[in-house]
Amino acid sequence: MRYLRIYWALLKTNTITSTMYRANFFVGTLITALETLAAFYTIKIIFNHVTGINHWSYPDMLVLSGAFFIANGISWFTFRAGVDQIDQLINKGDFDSLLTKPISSQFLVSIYRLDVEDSARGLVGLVVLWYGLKLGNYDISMLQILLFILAFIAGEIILYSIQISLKTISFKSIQGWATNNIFFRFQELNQYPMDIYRGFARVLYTALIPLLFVTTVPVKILLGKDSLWLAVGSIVAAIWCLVISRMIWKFAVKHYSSASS
Amino acid sequence: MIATPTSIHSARPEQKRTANKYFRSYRNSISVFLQYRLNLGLFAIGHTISLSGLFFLWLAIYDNGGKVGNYTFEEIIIYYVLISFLRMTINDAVGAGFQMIEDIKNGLITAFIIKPFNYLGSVWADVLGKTTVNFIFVIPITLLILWSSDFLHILPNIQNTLIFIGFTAIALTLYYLIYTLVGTGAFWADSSRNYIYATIVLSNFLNGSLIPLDLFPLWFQTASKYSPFQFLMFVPIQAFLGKISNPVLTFAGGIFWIIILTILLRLLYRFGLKKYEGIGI
Repeated sequence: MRYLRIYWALLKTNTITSTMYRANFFVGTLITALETLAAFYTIKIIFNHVTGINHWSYPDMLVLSGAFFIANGISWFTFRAGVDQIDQLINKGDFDSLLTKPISSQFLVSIYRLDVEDSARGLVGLVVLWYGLKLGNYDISMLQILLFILAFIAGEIILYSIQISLKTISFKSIQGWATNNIFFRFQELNQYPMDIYRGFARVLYTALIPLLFVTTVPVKILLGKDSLWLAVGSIVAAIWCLVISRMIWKFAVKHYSSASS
Repeated sequence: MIATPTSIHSARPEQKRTANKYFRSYRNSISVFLQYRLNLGLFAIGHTISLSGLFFLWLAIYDNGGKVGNYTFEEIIIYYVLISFLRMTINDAVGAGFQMIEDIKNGLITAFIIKPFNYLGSVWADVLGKTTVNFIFVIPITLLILWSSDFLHILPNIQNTLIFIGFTAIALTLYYLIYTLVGTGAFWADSSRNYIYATIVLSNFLNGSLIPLDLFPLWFQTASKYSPFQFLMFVPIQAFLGKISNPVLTFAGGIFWIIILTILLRLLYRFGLKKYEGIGI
């Protein structure tokens, strides 16, 4: 409960800061929404030329894209902005003050900055998802919806684990900000169905860096394209990734030495 | 006034000194950027990850017997390899736009006003320096990717290579002009960073980096021919693929936009300086 209260307090602070200049906030939100719509339009263009991508139809791809944008938006609303700036915290010497707080440093660093504007992606994603479901005329049960939500949350945890693990490079190098680019590229892969991968790439994105469980598995559960037992796989993958990332974080902090603060 | 032998000789050293200071700025930019070698490596890894996704996506599309526009599978893969190549090499001018906004807001351009060193010239030298380092690192990586994927045979002939280099130079110049032009918005508005973001979104859509422009509906293709954004990515790549029917005319189009945007930039910068207040600097 304490952690939830802290998250809520930081959310309020970040929202007040973001909306201090209202015109700025609305323009930023609009730009984010337009960027997302541009990506959606790209899918439409591709399907003007083809009828399917590896047994994924146009409505299937819309649902997948919608889920991708929602995952993107939620990540910005929770951990993405905070983790992105870990290297800046370390370089400016502000990280030390976070270490001395009576709360998990990993939690605090992850949520101290929340990007409210970028959550507009999630709203566009909801519209695209709804449109895809309507177009595809799917028969979806309540169980599928519940398991989709569960698998989706597991996917967010996997994304978070990947990002925070990558970001620990910043403890060893002042040039850690480019890891944001790597994470962005990993996240970008989730807009494609993971079925397209073959050989080593399939092993990499399924077992080693389980991006399969971020959007592809939740959407497959929702659309009934695969077994509902995949939800169990999502939960196992999420727990596994979180444990590994926690170990990496603790190792990095243990060997951290501050330059100044 | 008739130039005397003395005045002719003194004009040349002056021009040489002017060129020297910008060359020095260019060299400094290379030295500073070389400090961040790890970041370059990490960016290359990021782009390779992105390429792997695109490779398998288009493989899945073409494997099902699909064909997209007039592109063979090899051509569409080369297209996106070149998108990554151009993003890693000439895209640093986007950062110049953000830097210009910060410099104007923090009053750092005041130093350039009182010294014989043009601010826009120094930004250009900085962009060129970073681009030089990018090319040195990225060209071998790109060739390695093409060689490992067995795509080396698709490298163009000498003529198309030179045309590609020419259009890449135009693209770099346009990147610099567009984003510094948007950066001048900081003279008048507080929220000019959003103008840069808006330009990035618009540019990504109109320059062909999301999807080749000739796959869009016909009305969109016609409209995009009248924008400078097509020269940022789409036109250089078409040159590489040997798909430009009239390179001279297309080149002239690129030069036209460079001239127009240069005039606009100099005008806006001059008007902006008149409004500029470097308080407390």
